[in-house]
Amino acid sequence: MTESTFGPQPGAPRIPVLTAADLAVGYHPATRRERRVLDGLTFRLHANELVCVLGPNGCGKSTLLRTLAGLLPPLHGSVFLRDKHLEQIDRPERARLIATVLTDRVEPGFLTLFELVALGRFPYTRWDGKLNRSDHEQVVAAISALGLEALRRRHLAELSDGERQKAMIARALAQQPELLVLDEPTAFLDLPSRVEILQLLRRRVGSGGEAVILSTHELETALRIADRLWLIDNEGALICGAPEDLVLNGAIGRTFARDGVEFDGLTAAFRPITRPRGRIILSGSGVGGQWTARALERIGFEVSAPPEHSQLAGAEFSVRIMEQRSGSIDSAPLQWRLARRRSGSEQELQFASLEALTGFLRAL
Amino acid sequence: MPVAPKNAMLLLGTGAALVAAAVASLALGSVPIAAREVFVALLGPEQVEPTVRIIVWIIRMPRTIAAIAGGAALALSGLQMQTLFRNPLAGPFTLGISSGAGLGVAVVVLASGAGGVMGAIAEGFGGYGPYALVSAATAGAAMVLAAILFVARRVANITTVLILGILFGYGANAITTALLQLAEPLQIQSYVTWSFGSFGGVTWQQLGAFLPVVAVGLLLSAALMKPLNALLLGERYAATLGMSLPRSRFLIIVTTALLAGATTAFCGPIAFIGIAVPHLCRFALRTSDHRLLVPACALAGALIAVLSDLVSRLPGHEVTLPLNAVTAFIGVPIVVWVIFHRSRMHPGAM
Repeated sequence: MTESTFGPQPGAPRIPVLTAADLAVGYHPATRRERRVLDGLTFRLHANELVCVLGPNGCGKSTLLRTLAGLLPPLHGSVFLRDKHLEQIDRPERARLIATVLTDRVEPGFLTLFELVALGRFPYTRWDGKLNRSDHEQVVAAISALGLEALRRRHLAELSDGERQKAMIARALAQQPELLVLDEPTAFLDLPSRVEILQLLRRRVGSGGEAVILSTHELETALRIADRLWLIDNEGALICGAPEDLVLNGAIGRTFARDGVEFDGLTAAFRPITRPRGRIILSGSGVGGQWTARALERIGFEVSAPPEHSQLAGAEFSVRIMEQRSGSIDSAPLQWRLARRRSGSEQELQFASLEALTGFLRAL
Repeated sequence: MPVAPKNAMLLLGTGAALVAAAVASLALGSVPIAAREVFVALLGPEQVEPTVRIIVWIIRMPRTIAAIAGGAALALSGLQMQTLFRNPLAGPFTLGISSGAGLGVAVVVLASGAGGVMGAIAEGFGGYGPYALVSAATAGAAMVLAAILFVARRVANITTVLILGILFGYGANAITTALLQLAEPLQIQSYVTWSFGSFGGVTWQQLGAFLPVVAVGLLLSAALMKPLNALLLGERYAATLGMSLPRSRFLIIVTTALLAGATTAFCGPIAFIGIAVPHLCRFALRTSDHRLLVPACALAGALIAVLSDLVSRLPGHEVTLPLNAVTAFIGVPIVVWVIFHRSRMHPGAM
């Protein structure tokens, strides 16, 4: 706890932006039979903090986020925004405090990007929605925060999915919220857009002052950008913590555990559990070494570094990576020398690509 | 955003065209009157012959005013339906709202005794006939709309909602037909004439009930421009922006029921103005902003209604075309064009 070690922060006491105590979320009995999706949730979220909600499909991420956005009433417990009860804040006030990006598809019609972002000023504008000078400034600022200046007069129908999603986020920023809730903001986007949008949100936190909570399936990116993770495990329990802590204590591995898949804490990726085909000693480091190891693991070999001592502990093969000359991987062609160790005699084969190397090993 | 100069010109042009069409509507008919004489009759009714005065003031003026008010009302109700249901094919006619209003009218006709629609208005209910008619039609329209909305909250697929709207319309029609079995032949005839749709039968007395209702509907439409814009993002997003969904929905339904109900009560069910005009405005102005679309639809709806009414009596002899035939001639190509254009622009939108 930093507070206890270094004393309270200077300035105002740190009231969390969001506090939930013994919260249960789900669907209300008014519509159907009450269905509790998640129960007994307790958490807090501070300003300038980015939290990623992770969990298997259907675990209740969207339900939780919709409850925090005020779209669903809590079934039990309470949510506080600063020191106010979420359900006691009136609608326009709530829209000035919380902005939400949903997974709902927006029919573009003839809305321009500027008009879409300007809708974020809805809780501030007068009866007919006319923007005053400060509204206009906020809209322009939100558009430039997402780098969309060049597209402001475009109709939404002319934008790519990534641009449209950025516009939806700009609209949320134009609401000047204290809390930004994003439900899978990177779903349906191509990889570069996904990384770009999450990086944008990361940069925003700390400069804008909003607290950001987003759900995502991008575990690897979430581990990189989140200040804290909220992990919903298969039993519906919420595990909160710094991403690194959750990797080290195995919580992430357990949450996403499936038959035949394991979480690799080193590479922060899931990989299939396979019975090793054999062991290979790999000499070579850097990017070349990394990718060579991946290629060998892909075809089922257990890869290890050269041992300190001469004994090779039962490894049948060894691979050495040779560089023609030093340089980056773009310029230096690599070569792989495969040695098969059997009863003293050592034969070496040369390969010019990993495709050739793995092809040879697989054919054995 | 400020109104772009091009759009301001389009709005002004539509307004000017509306004035010209209104003058033409006063001048043309089985007895043509020179435009100059129309102006004289308008500015100093004593200075023209009594026949001209009667034709301009008693016969053509209420008809023209009814066309302006009815056209604007139908176009605005169509615009609001299309936004609320997020469906380009929504409109007072397709959603069965006109049929609901028709049911209300049939009830009034039956309750009024032997006089039929016109009798109900003139004599029935001790002079409150027009108010009874407008109330019943609005109530009928609101009933169908409320039923549609009730279903819409349970059915996710909006096309299903549209189909259900059509079915509710058939239901209302069926009740109307059953009711008419109980009616006197004169009442039936009067109802059938009403059901063809016409601005021609509207009198000054009826305008006394019709115009205030439409005026209230126009004011409500103006007040609803902001929530309608928020609804462009869908109901959930609108709620996150701080819009009260139940209240906005309720107000939009009341407004639509008033506008479409009152128009249907006095002018009969008129097809295609409600569905086609909003598209025409969106495509001409290339905007979805209701701050522009509300005035544009009111003006364009009025213009198209006056022109359709003009065309329907253009033959100039004893024969007149049914108004609905004319609006269909204008409306069908627009709707067809819109369907093709829309699906090309946003695949999967329909």
